[in-house]
Amino acid sequence: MASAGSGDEKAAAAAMITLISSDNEKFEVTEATATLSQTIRHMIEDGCTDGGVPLPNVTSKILARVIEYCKKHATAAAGEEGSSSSFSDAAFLEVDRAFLEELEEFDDAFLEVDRATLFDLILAANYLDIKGLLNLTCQKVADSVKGKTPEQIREMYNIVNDLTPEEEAEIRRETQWAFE
Amino acid sequence: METAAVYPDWSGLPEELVLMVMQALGIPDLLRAGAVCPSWRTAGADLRRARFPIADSSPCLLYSAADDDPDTATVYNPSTGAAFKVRLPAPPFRSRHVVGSGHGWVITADEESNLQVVNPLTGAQVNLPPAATIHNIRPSYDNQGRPIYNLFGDHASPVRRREFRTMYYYRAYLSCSPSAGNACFVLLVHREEGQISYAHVGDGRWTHIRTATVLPPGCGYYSAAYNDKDGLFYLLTCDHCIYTLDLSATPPAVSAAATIRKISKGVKGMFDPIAEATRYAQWGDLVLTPWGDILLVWRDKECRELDSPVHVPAGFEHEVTRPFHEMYTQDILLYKVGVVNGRKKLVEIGGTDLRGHALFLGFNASMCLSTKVFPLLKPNCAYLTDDSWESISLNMFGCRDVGIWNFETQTLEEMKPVDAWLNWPQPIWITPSLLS
Repeated sequence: MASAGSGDEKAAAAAMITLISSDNEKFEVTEATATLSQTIRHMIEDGCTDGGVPLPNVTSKILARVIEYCKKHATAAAGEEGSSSSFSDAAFLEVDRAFLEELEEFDDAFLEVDRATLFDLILAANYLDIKGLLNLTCQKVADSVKGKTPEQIREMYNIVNDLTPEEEAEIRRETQWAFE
Repeated sequence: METAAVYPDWSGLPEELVLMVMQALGIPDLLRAGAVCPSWRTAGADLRRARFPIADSSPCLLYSAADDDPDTATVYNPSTGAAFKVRLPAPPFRSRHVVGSGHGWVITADEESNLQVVNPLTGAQVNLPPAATIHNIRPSYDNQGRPIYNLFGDHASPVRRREFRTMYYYRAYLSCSPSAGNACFVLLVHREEGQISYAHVGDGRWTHIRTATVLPPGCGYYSAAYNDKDGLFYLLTCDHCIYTLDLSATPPAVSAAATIRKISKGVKGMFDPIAEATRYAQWGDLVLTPWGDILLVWRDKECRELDSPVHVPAGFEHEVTRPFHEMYTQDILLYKVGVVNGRKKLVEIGGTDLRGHALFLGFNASMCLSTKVFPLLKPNCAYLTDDSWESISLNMFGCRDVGIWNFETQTLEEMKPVDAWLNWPQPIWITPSLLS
């Protein structure tokens, strides 16, 4: 990982981007990290990142988490590029595999958040257009509702049941047969 | 610590994001999540219409389509024309032989001829006891070292493991949904000469039911129906008598004590057993009607010899003994158990005696459904798939006997799903269910 890291640092010296959260906190990140977000990538391409990128929809708390995710995955992306260009021997694949495992562990640990944070992460991933993070967080929600009743899902996600009795009856009629 | 006040209302998640979450869900979870709140319901309904376009439990045809991968099956509703795809767990659906269905589950035999029950909608699957635990089967190897089963009847006959399933199993029946676990039992009708064995879901072995003292020599069972009103299996023998079998009266471990009671004498003069023995697949189905009648449905089949043989994939040549041979239904006769001179007898009836109901016949547990409950079904008709183990055993890739029999016109109407079915595994009726 050392070589990938030093490459990253070189790139960092060349281009740093400032992200500004809704509560006006500034985060300095490398361009490689920032461009995991398609939204920011387009802003950079359009040349409108001088003086920082304001992100009025993302709080500093959430932005810090998003950057943590992007840093880790940007390193992974850099590592992948390295592997395809010069290394293909078994030893390197072994390192690669170990790194992917590490990345998976990182993702698992990253998702150990309360549901309010998870909600904000989904919105941020969507707004910033970070495909990997959006898939990861949506999958987390999907996994959490598997095997749950509607009532359990409502309780877990603080959803008020504002279906009318007519709608509830209709849903029962539409789906009850399937569970009989 | 978070306080309740900062918890967001997840019903406010934008619809495209709810859709992303729901796309990762299987069908049962999708339906449950769609009942959470109005915005989740909208998202769930959109996905459901796309992935699961059926609205009730009217029977659907389950089959493999040529363009799909071997794990995927098509579920086709003949009333609405709706079809969708489901993915079954291993082994691949296309490698299985289908020997029964009921309560939304299908009973299949894999390439080792071992049986399992699988719910194609939920992907839930349970292995039934191994074939080698059936009383007249011994696993062995032929002189070239290939795995075979020896079937012990009057003499031992060796059969290759994969081939065994189409030659040995007649049908399999479920007492209830296998989601009930050990409370569900499976009745297996098999060779030689229509013997029966049973197992509870979760059992380690099949238990043979000895009936030699009850039935005339050389006469066996060939089809059955479970009556959930009295908890009895109704069994049809090859001499056209109907028996009941009470498995609950016996501790499951005791095989010999199952009680079988003859409830109807055969119809004298209707069939000549010797003449019938020279023909193929002339066996009938038992149907229990919602109004309490017991029907015998007799599919009169003809054999058509093809001009050119069916295409047999490489490696299966040994399993197709009659590549020119195809069975098709040319007439259906209906009988009911009636009382004549104080004795129970089989009495012939007509299609209108189905009281506007539709029959579903094949390897599935037979069904008799009200067209008032399912208005899209055709009344006084029989929805058919192949029901003959012999026709499959002789030519597993031959054209299957599938269609809608109209009792009034005495004709078989075609069904035309967008994706045509492959002849193997044979298409089977299922009542879609999400109980797993």
